Amino acid sequence: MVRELYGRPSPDPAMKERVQARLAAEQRSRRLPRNRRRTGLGAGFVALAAAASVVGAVLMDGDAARTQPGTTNPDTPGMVLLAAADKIEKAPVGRYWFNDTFSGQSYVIKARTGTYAIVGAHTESFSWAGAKPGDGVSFYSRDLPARPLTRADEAAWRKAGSPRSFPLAYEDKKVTYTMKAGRWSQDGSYPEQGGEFLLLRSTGKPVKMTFEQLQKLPSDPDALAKLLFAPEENPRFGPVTAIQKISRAKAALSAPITPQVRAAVMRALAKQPGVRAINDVTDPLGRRGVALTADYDFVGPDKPQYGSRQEVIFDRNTGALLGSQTVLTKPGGPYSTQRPGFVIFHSLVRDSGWSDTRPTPPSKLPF
Amino acid sequence: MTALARPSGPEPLHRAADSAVIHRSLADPERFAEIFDTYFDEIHRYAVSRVGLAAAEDVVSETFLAAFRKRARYDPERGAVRTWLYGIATNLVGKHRRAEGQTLRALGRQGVERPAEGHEDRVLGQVSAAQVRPELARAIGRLSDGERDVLLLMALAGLRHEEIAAALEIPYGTVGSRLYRARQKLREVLGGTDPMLDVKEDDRG
Repeated sequence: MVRELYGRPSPDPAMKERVQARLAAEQRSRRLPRNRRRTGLGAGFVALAAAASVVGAVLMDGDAARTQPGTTNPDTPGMVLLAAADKIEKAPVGRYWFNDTFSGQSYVIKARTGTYAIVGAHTESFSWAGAKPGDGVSFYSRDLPARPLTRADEAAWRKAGSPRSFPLAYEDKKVTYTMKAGRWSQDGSYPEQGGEFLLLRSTGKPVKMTFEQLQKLPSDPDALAKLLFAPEENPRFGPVTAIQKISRAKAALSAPITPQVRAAVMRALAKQPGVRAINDVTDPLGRRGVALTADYDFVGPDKPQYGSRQEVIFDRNTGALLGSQTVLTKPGGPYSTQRPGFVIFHSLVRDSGWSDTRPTPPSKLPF
Repeated sequence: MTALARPSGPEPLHRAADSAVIHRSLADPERFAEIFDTYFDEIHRYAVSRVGLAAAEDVVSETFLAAFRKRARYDPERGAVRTWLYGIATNLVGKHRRAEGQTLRALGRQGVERPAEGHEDRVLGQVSAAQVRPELARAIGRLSDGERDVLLLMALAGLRHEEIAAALEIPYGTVGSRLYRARQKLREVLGGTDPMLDVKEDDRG
């Protein structure tokens, strides 16, 4: 995807000639350099981590509230989830499908008065796509204010003097998140597009479907699972992991599929090995839901020093997709001071649905 | 992906030939033109991708001039000439961070500055990139400079972990941790897609 973004710049023979001329001039002007002892390229250039008082955390999948696995509810998590799936209601189809989501990364701030977490890299994204080709596609985004993650974090933040800006440093990057909201900016507008929706795959090529194709997806969970969780064509990607299945399910649930298919996605995901239900989850907007979750299982040199899981959350009463969050399961690394349940990253659905008129991003903040 | 996994392909031969050219260019500077001819196109592509057309010329010419001037200090034990050139180019990109930011914003909008050429997945690629382009570009812009350098040396230059470590003169473990963080940060805007999965890592060793 990164390569795709950058594309492939065309060769530039004119520039090549210019650079060649410069190099040739240099070659002529240089006297033979003394054949010095080889010293290698030097040992420097190791960036030192600055600002030991702040830990910049850098994961990218999860939510800003603490989750509490429900233990008092007599219903099993799976039952509650399936009950939620049953409650999905049919909404009338409109001309434009829109998604309003926001995401934030949690950063642990070690103040003298006590440690607290804030949400930074806080961005709201608004997009819409016409149901038919030529109805257009548009993307908008804005920066959201940084804010304490939970009530407890807010109390600790007040104790620290209620700072309005949070300078963070990790590696060679310094960034300051402030409590100021940014303005909406239009990131892209494609009036000739529309009528197609992207179901991002965890690996390989994204799957593109027309609105009609989406309506024809099977509502039988097993048939749907075969489509949704199919292995990549290229065998080098290996089997589809539970985490990838959660991503695929979330992508499908963000597209305009029918209520029956929506319920089938939840059922299909719930049946996958490695995926389990959690009964009572509260998201950073205070919405209570049920979640399907799988543990991250990193191997190799990139393995982080902490454990985490990915959750996809549904409204308990309507079955609507509320978002996803990455939750700490085993403290360590940048989260050694945090308890299990700490939300490392969240990506929440603020609103999603059909509109008959061209949707516009809301001016009100989501919280 | 371990440090010990070495490709069995022709790469070591290239390395030997390249370093022989470098060595001969000490006595005969004109020989350096072979290095230039071999690597200009890909260093040019890398520079244009990272800092845009306007700043790329500076990066590309400074890369080859610096390589030429420092050729006596090139150490084949530390890495191939190609790796060495990417390291120099990447350090020069560091002097053009503002241009890099502008380039990323342009890529996020449309990427009109450079039409893709003859890629087989062009149509699908354009559509899918159009959908995630703005957020992906912004997320890349938000990476630390070190994370972005590592990510793009892998994604655009196709360097392996150990080559990136040699190019940037940073520890192997730092490459891994930066790459891990960069991937994680980009993963969310791609709906869980690993941003690196169009890079054929296994083909490159």
